[in-house]
Amino acid sequence: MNATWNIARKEITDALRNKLFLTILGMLLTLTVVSVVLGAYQVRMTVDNYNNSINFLKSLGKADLPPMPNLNPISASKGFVNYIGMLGALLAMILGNSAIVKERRSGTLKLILSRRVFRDTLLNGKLLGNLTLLAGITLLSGVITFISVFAIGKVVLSGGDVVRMGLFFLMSFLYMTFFLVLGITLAVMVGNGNKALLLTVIIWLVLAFVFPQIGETMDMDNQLPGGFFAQMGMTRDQEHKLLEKFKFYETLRDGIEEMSPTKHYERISFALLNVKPGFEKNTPTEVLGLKWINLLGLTAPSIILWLIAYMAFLRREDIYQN
Amino acid sequence: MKTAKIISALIILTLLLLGPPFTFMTMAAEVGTTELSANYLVVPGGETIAKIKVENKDIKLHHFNLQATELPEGFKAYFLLEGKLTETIELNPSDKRLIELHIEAPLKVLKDSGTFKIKFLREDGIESFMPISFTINHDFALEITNGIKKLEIMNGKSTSFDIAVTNTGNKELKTLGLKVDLPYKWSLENVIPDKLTLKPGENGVLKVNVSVPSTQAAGNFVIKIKSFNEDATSSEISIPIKVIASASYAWWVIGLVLVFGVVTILYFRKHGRR
Repeated sequence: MNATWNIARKEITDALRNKLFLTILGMLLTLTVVSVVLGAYQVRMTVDNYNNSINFLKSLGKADLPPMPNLNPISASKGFVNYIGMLGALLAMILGNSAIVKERRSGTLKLILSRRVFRDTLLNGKLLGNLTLLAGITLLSGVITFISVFAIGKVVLSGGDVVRMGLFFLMSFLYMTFFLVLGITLAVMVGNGNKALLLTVIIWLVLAFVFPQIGETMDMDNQLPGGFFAQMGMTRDQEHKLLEKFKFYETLRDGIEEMSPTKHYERISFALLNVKPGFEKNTPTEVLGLKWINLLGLTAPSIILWLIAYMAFLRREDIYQN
Repeated sequence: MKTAKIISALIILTLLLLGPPFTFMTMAAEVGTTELSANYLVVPGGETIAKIKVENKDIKLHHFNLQATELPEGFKAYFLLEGKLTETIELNPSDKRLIELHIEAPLKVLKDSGTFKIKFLREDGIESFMPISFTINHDFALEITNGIKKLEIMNGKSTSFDIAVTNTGNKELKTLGLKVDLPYKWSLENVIPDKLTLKPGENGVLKVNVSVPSTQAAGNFVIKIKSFNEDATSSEISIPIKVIASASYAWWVIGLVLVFGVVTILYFRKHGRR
């Protein structure tokens, strides 16, 4: 355990010296601050407009006052979903790749493994260190969001909203974890560090952009602006009959979409943040209960990839080569 | 003589001030009467559709905001243009459009008749009103109820539920059916029986079978149902339905994780820890 923690600590120190990592981290935090501050201002404007209307109606002597509109302050983090989907994933991939490649290039991998450090311990240490970094980034983003909503939006979040927000940041952490593990696994499996990074980025592009797009654009109703069925003047019955004929196509399209961790992250996050309608009345645990399949879709691929990394690293004989 | 001149001048001034907007309004947007009559028969708890012609007689393009005002308590009204809900219309010079006014009456109506107005507000602030009167037809009235508080279903499966329909009017209602509005890609398998005939005060039950596609993501949805025949339409009821994810995908994923776990253990046993 001591060896694992020592390796983890070195990982954190190395990452904080990595210029590329720091640049992307800076960009991610800047975008987070901008999006959350803008979201919080939006909430504040809604509150101010409502208060002005109430004051005006009261001055007219009206007793029948409109209820407070649904502010949904936690949706201030909506933009964060996109930034994590792109920059967060990129950050995690760079961390994962450099965790192995830097040791190989500097020859320190040979040195570490010549000591009484098992290969799996080395991987565990690398993972622990990088997970700590990702957890720190997620925590920092969460703190920025909570402070902005309270200080700028002037809204005190309810207990349920705090839990929903906390769970959303946990999902963001799990999403980045997947790409971190993918980066490490491919760096272990592919001898050339640059090729490994390129391959990781290609897989990310496919999983984060191509697969979800297949789900969206290949949907039959999205083939024409304004909806295919509406444009063709079809009734609901005709629509159902047509869809029945394309059942296999629909299953295939959905299956491809299910392979994308980005889609799982988006689905569970939008449900937790109330961006997608229909989850407003659910408690945070109920949302998790409904969306457990997406949680599984986020965690299971990381576990499988990690097991592959163990096996691949155990038998690599060219690991000492520079 | 001097007083008469002053009075005449005031009258002319008043006419000048009041005259143009009225003349302009008539020229700009002539709100026609409905196709048959401005008085409509409304069924308690039902919906009546009135068709209104709106014409722009001005030489310029105009936008009109439509609003039903002074509606009696419990009544609702909305406008449909080419089947889509609308609150504003854009009309080119000499252009005319036919708009559907949907009047929804509450189930319990105290008065036998009533009136309300449709307000047409042009973008430059000119307003015109069209009075609409209605008479409650107690002969045909339909009530729809369901005892289901909430339904739960797994994606890729079918479910059924009962809908009770009561004839609360004074005359028999024949060939009563259901209009079921389902979420996108859901399908209505059948309604048993397909049609009902109810005598006054009688009630009947229709069993609705719906199927949820396997591609449906878990979440909360709403099914909207109303009963109708050629004489009456009931109010719409909403049934909340919770879709939960099928466990089959999860079993595959968990199985895959377990397989990889076992393979890793065997691999380490065979080659040893290094």
